[in-house]
Amino acid sequence: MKTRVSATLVLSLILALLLSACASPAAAPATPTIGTPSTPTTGTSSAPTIELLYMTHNHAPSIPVNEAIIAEFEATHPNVKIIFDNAPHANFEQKVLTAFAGGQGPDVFWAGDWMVPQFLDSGIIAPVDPTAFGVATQDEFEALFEPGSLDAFKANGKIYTGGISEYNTFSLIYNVDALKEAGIKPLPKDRPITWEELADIATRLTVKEGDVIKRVGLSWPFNVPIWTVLIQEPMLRQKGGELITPEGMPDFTQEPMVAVMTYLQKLRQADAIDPATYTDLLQDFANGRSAMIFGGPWAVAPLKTMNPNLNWDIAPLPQFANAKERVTTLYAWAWFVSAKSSPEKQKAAWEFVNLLTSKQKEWWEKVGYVQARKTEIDGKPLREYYIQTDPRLATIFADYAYGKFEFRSTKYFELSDIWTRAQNRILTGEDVMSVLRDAQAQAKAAMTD
Amino acid sequence: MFGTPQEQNLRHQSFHQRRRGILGNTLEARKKRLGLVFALPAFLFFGAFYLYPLFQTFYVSLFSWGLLDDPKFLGMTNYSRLFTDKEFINSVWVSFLYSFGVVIPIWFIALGLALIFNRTFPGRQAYLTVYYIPAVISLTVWSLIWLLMYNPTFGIFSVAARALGITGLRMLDDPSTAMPAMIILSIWKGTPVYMVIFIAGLRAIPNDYYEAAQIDGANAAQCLLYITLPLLRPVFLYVMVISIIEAFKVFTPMYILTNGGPGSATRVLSMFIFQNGFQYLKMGYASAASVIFLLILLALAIIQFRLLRFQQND
Repeated sequence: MKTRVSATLVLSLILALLLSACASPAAAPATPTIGTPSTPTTGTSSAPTIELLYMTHNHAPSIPVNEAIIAEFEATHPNVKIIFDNAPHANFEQKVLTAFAGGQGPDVFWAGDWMVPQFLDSGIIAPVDPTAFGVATQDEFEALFEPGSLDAFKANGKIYTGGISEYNTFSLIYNVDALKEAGIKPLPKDRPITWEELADIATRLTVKEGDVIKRVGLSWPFNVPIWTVLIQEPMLRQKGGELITPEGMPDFTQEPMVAVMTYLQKLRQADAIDPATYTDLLQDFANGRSAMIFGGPWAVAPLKTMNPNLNWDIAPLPQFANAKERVTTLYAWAWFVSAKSSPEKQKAAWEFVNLLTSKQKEWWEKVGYVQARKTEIDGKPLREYYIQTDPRLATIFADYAYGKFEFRSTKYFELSDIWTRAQNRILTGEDVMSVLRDAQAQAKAAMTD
Repeated sequence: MFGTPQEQNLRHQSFHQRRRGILGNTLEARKKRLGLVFALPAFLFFGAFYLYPLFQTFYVSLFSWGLLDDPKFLGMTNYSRLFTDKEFINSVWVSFLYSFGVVIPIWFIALGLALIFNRTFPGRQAYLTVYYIPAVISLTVWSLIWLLMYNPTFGIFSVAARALGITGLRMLDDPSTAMPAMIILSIWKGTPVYMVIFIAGLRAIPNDYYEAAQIDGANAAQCLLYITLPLLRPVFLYVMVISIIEAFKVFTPMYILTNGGPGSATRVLSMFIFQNGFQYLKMGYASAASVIFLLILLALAIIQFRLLRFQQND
């Protein structure tokens, strides 16, 4: 009898646990319903509330700016509620993609330009609605932005972004005092030095005590695939190469790639660069552990804070002596709207993006993000306003004019990883051609999947 | 083919006894049913969180699937591709190299420390606490600390090496030293956990055996060889199986210190699977690699059980 009672009790307990696990917690706050408008539970308005999920990475200074803009938008759009979700920068794109795969994708989100082919392939981004930006046509919308800044977001005659949250290029940032100590004049601002000259300068700037490198001449994050592309792709293009051939296949064994990799190997052999000494791009530079780095406009404000006494300046991104054309890099984070969202949510989302892109001053002053949407601040065009905050920025802005966005491929991550692994092997002294042949075989396999 | 009539009858009886054993109305039958009820949550948990994902992984491995597109059936193509993929073969090799490079020293160091800490001596508890500290530090924090320790300019290893007259030590930057660097930090991190398991095993050995052996004139080495080690066999088996599985699953140190590099020198299997699955969105391919990973671990566990002739009554 006892056993039967115990069995009944245990079964009841399990059933209760299962039921409670299946049911929504009564005391939990209302979960936003993604994809469908819901009726407001409070307030006097009887209009349905549209809930938008807005996802960004969690760069700390950007969070309060996003929150302030959300509050402003909600104040003027009482029928819209924005749920703000920010995730760690590392693997942020994967989080967005897995959210979409799970049917919980955001309505508005940040992502890098390199994601566009994959987004288009998966049909998760919507073409822009120009009317949300106060213009009638897509051409008029494009005219709101810096020329060429939206190129990476175009496909099939449509533009798939509402604007750029962070518009970047790379220039050469150098320690003026370190150059002076080595008997080198400050670098010209009106023309790029050559990569060959840079190799010589970087070698002379490296300071060694015995076998220990106390200061390395030139540095960048050698293990971060996107940096591999951003640094080496302009070099490749200057030599007349392109990673992706017109047939859409990667080519790691082309002559310009061999030349670029050979150049990097020589840099390493001369101790002008040393991946082992790298800890943090800006900290290493600010603390004098590296004499030159590559960086964009985002580097300016942190460097001034990290070491206010550091005497540094900016030079244009170098180019090869025999360059076929002057090429720098371009990359951007942008605001996208989900094609999976309902039409009314998309409309609200584009209006929200319109507000986000019109806060150029806040994005610069509080986050350090350069914007591509034209405007005047304090009676000055945007770039003049930026330069007024730090005249060194003029050199970086000159580099934008020669910028090209990264290669387009749905296999971006895989190819950039292959490129980085090849680079690292070459820097350890392996034979350039055999490493690149391996890379080519891996790239070919990646593309056939 | 079906045995003699007597054997058939016995089998028939046995079946009905078993059936009655579960479904009957005896006290024993009710107890068995209650036992099943108690075990049900564990079965449900195991089924939902282990068996279902396991079968799902195998199912996905038969497809080409990028998370956001429709899966395309490939059959065993992902598996055949894996066996010709140099990066996958390298990852398997790197995983073996790392795992056995870590676990073999751990077994001996952990056992040695356990034997030391199983005795009483002044400051024993304090030493034990200090030795256990690495085990309670998060692996991410541990990896970041070692990243600085391996720095060729100011890292403690380079400084110590220079003091000994060894120059040019670049632990993480050199393909020949990157894996030993990973192995050293993992041995340091993993040893305390297994040391505690060995101590628990040692304390479970009745003191009577040692007393009897001493009366028979056995010395310390003989006690170790003929009492301690044989009686620790089940613990040793547990440590071997768990440590090898844990070592094969390693991911964090490689992700933080080298990102699998230089080249692919530290690109272990779990990193290969992570990159293919969550960075390249090749879910089918990553699932196939995961199935192979599982089979490798399964084979290793079986070999270990066989080697130690593990029996249920151990």
